[in-house]
Amino acid sequence: MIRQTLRFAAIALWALLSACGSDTPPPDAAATAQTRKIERDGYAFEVGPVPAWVVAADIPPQWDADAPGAGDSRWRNWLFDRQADRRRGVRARYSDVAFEPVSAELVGDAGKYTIGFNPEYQRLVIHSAELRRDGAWSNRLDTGRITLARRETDFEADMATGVVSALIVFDDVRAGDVVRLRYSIVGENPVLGGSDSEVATFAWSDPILERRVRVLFDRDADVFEWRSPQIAPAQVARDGDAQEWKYVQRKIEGLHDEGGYPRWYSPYAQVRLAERRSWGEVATWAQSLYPQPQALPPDLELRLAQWRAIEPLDARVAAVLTAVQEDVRYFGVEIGDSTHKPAEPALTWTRRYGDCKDKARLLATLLQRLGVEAYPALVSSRNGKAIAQWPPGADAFDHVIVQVRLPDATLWLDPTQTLQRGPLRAIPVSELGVALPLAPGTKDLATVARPAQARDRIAVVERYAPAAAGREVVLTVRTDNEGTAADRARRDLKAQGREALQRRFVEYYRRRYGEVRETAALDVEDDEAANRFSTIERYTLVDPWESASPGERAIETWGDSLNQEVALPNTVERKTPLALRYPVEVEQRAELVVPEGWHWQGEDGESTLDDVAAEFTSRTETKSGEIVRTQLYRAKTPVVGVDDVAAHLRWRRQVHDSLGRRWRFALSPADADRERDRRLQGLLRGLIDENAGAAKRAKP
Amino acid sequence: MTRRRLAAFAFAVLSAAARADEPQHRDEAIGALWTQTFAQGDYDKIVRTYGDAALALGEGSGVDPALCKKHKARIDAAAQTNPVGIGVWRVAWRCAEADGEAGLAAQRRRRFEALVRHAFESVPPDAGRTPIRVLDEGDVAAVIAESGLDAIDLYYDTGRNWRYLELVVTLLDKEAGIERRLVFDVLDARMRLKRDRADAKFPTGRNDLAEALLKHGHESGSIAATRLLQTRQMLNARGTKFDMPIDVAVRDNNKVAIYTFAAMCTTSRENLECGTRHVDALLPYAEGRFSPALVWLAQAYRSGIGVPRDDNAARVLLDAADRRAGGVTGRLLLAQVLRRRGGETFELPAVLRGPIEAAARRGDLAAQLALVDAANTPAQTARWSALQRDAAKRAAEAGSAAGQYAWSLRLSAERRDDEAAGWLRRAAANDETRAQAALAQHYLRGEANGDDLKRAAHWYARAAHGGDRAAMLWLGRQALAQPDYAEAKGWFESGASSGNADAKVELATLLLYGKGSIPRDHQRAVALLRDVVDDPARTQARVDLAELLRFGVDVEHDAAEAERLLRLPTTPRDDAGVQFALAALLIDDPTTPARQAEGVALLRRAATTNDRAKIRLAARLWNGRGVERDRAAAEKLWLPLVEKGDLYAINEYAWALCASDDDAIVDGRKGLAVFKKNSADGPLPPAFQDTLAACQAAAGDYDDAVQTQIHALETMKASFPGEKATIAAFDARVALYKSRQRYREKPKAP
Repeated sequence: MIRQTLRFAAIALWALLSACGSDTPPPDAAATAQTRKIERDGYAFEVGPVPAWVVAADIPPQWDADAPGAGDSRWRNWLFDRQADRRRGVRARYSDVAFEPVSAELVGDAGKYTIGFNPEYQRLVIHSAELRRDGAWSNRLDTGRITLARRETDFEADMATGVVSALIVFDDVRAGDVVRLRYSIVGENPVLGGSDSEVATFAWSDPILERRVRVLFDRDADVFEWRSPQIAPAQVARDGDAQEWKYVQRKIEGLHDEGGYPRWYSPYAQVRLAERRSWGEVATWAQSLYPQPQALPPDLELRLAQWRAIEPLDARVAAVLTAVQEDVRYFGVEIGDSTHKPAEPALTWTRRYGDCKDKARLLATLLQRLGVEAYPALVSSRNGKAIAQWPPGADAFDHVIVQVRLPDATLWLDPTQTLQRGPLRAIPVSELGVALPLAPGTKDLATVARPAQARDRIAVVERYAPAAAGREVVLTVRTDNEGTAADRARRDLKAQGREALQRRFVEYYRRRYGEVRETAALDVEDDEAANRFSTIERYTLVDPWESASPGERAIETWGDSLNQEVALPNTVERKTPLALRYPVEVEQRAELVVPEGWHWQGEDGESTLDDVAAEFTSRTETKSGEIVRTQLYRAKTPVVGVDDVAAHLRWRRQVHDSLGRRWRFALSPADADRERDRRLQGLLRGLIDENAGAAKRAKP
Repeated sequence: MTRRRLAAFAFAVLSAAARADEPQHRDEAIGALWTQTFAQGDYDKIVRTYGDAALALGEGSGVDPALCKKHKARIDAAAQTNPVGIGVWRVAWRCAEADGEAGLAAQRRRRFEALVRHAFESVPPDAGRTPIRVLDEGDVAAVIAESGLDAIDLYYDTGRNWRYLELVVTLLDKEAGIERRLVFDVLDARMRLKRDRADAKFPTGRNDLAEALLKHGHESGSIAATRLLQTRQMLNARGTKFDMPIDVAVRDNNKVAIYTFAAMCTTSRENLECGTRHVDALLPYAEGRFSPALVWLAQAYRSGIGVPRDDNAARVLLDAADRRAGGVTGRLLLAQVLRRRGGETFELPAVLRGPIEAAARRGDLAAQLALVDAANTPAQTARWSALQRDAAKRAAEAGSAAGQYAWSLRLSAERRDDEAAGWLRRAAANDETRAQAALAQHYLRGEANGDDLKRAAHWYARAAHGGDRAAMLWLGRQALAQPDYAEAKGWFESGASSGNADAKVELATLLLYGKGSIPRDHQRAVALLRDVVDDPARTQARVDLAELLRFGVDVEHDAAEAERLLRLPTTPRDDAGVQFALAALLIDDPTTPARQAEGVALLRRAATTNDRAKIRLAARLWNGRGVERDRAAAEKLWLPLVEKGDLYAINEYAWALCASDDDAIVDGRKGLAVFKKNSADGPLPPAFQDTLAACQAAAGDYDDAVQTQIHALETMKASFPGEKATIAAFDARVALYKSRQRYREKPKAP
């Protein structure tokens, strides 16, 4: 009888909800009715029940015996449940996280949980905070232990984002407890105009027992899904006004992050969902944030007049680029509208700072005023070309550069860079892959190609000239940096200062050779037109020789410039692709003047170590009393594929092992015998004295 | 260094970090952690913790705060997973400190200190012969880093025993001008951590693990591992000029290779072409006062190799080496190598003997052991001086395993057998391999009962892990007798990899036939036999190898090599096995009648004593091949063997009765009756099933014949897939029996 009554009640409730039709209140309205707002430290959060649209998950009593982490994992994630409601343009995102610090060492981490939200357009609603110990759940929601603070974690990266962190502290957490927190964040940045996506990751550094993702769209929404192949397809259902996409994955292994990936690769399996829209629509949305600029200030108009006089066109564009890069400091205030809407060019110029979109808009505006077709272009500095597969959306991008359409070429310029010099057409941007130019008629992403003339080359010549007598060696080091390498070296000099740079250089040689005297200040030559930046160092090495035997001496040289290209990554046994710096060419030459009376104990030779991703050659030759060893590294591709990684890393090890070389010089046999006798006699005399001294000290 | 001094040193190492007002981890607690780790620790996970900890190391040996922060989770987890990893806890401590977590850092520092203290204090008092137990080279690096002393040497010992892979560290106490030599071992702890894994049971697994550790170390940039591999390369170049390897050693500052090279140049009986190269290589290190360099330069002066002979110079150098290394350590190093080269009759030269004896009288344990530990029999100890006897007694009482063993030998010589047995047991319990083997032999003396056998097996197993080859062989043979072929293979593999020829032959025999779960592996068997056939005493190995090459099953057929082996001047001509094998080779060669005749003659000679020869000769007599037909004589040879259940005789006789082309002599029922004499257990090999089927067909039991022949065919295909002709013949016989006809063997040419 009781069972029948309940069944009728359920039917009645269903009938009532069905009858509501389009008058159904917004998804979180039911929750809002019972929520309590708590203000703290100038910000606010709410406490309330789980919204009605959420399908709550259960936490099982036991961790499955066959699930990863059943043994002695340090941290176990029992549940990651993420649900989102996007119906009728609303954005409500519910999270249910439950985790267990298995190791006592990590109890501290489990007792603190941080949730970031932006109070300008988002509300944080905390539903529950619970803890399970010995099988029993207890309520741990103590609003007095929740603090809110604006934490500009990106401040050091010259950005202010306006994000507030809610820090929830759980007291008395012990190893083996399960901590569970349920909360929702309601709202989305209005500047996005609804062109955002739902993103969920299906792997973490520690094992996950169950990962659930559920997204509600409007019933008739055309949904665009992108999913990593390792994630099982969604269960899609239509119910009432909702189209539901649901993913459940269980027993997920902890992921070992190998690092060193190419920009477009992520080891974390992911799903991305959004209402279907085109890149053209995203471009149209973005263009609305870049309206016709207001009048420019007089001083900038004056500069425009000066730039207009510069010929040829490339030089004119380069001059403007340098001004925007170096006269306007990079600093971002990414709050509210400013997250995606750039400042007025006049303001950016006047205050002399701006973030990427401010600077890109300024550069594009100035170039347009000079009659050059130029547009801001949205890119992903974090994910590169991977975004091309994703649901088109505003949230795919995190950076803005400028597309310049010259009559005979398309250039991509990054106004946030500094100290880029050389021919305009040789100036590269990073390996961004694709961009969305905010030009009229843009329908799709465009490929960002690296300029054919762009170079990244370092050539080092170390010249060792031993003094005629004694053991001193005069060392001269000339380093020529070209292209991107010159930009880096120039920035290095500016950032560190000449004195610190010189100190760093000389310390390197001191570590290698012991006592080193600097015989001249660091010389710098900067040919900005050719983008060649050179340094010249001059030292005297007091006694760099190793005496292998009385008639022999040796000095070691090391191809350190090539070292960073062939050093092994942190994870050597890889299952993921490895990024290379590309295109990079590094040449290091050691020139050794053979000391008078000695001869070199070695032979000329040449060897090449080739690999699918890079090549290395080493050549040793003698000419007119000098030995010259030239080592050359050249990257052939920006990425080493998984299948080639093992061979490539073996190649790196082989190259690394051959970077060092000991040069041995010998006296004639008779001279060597005399030298040996002299040293042996010296040794014995010294020991006799030491033995006698020790015996004397030992006597009472 | 004595136990007390080691512990004191450990404290000194850590004194900079330790604070007296904080309670220390009790060593029993650390002992329990080790026990728990050995009982439950996951080998792979624990090994990985060192990689995780290393993520936080920056340039040099210190941690990098940024890397600590980046890899915090992995470092925390590593410390949790590996409760006894000195290197792991050091990184965890230093990272917590860098992160400003003072409380956690103090807690971790205490654990680190307790682990180091425990490691040092767990070493028995045996003058550094038992290394300090650690789990990874990273533990050693951590001790060095926190000692505040300069590590002037770090190398794996070339003359390693089986139980340990000794990593030698020499630290320089600059203030005292004294070297501190510490010996660590990773191998034994790693083996114990492997516990129940199959590769941990046998000593060969220990050897394989040592090689894997060195290879991995070399690939991960361990200088010590690389140097050992280089040194081995140099040692392998013996007999040729040393130029290349020693050049590499000098170039890479590989001191251990240079010292090894110098030791070989100045002590080897071979006439090595060292010239002055060893002196030149040693001189810079001698000038730097490194004690081993001083010792080997002294030996150069003693021997007059590379420098003019000068005993005074040698004495000056040895005095300096002793002063630098402490006690008489320099002289002991030289004594140890000279004794190894000199054999049992070796007498210490005067330049060494006086100072070593004086040190022994002063109570120096290392010196005492040097005077007594060459002894391996009671008879040797009977010739000891009073000083040596006293040294053995004092070393034994101090707790040294080597001393206890030597003292037990001496007591045995004095007929104090009970006391001798007690000291022997103590030495064995303290992992003295010689004592363990002796104790095992003790249990086997007289009429060993089941318990004695178990005890013997226990001590032999421990001795085997210490590298005792006789123990490995005995354990293998015991397992074979059970029979437990997998167990036998494990011990024989161990013996074979230790270079024991008997173990190689036993293993080859096991692989020749494939027993139990051990699959046949003729290629490996051939390789093993090839290793031993140069020994003139290995007649049976030569015969086995010749037979393998003659049959060419799974290996390349090479009758010429088989014949060469059997006709080697050192192969006994009167050995029936040799005669039979050679006869079979010659008879199988139809090209020259003379060779066939020689083969038959050899077969007749062999048949006087060799059963297989009798069976083969009987077959030839039955068919009149190469000899005059005489079936009565054939039966006379076969029947006694058939009665004994000899399967080969049964097979040949039954085949003769059932497969003949001559209906007059075919008797299927009799053939089947002969088959019943078979006493072998288990399934019949395919050739014997083939004979049985022939008899079933000859007796008119065609249905049985078909079944048996199909079984023979399947077995043949599975066991010898390369024997295509035989498989085709078996297949044809299935069809024959299905058509209800018996098999008739066509007469072969005589």
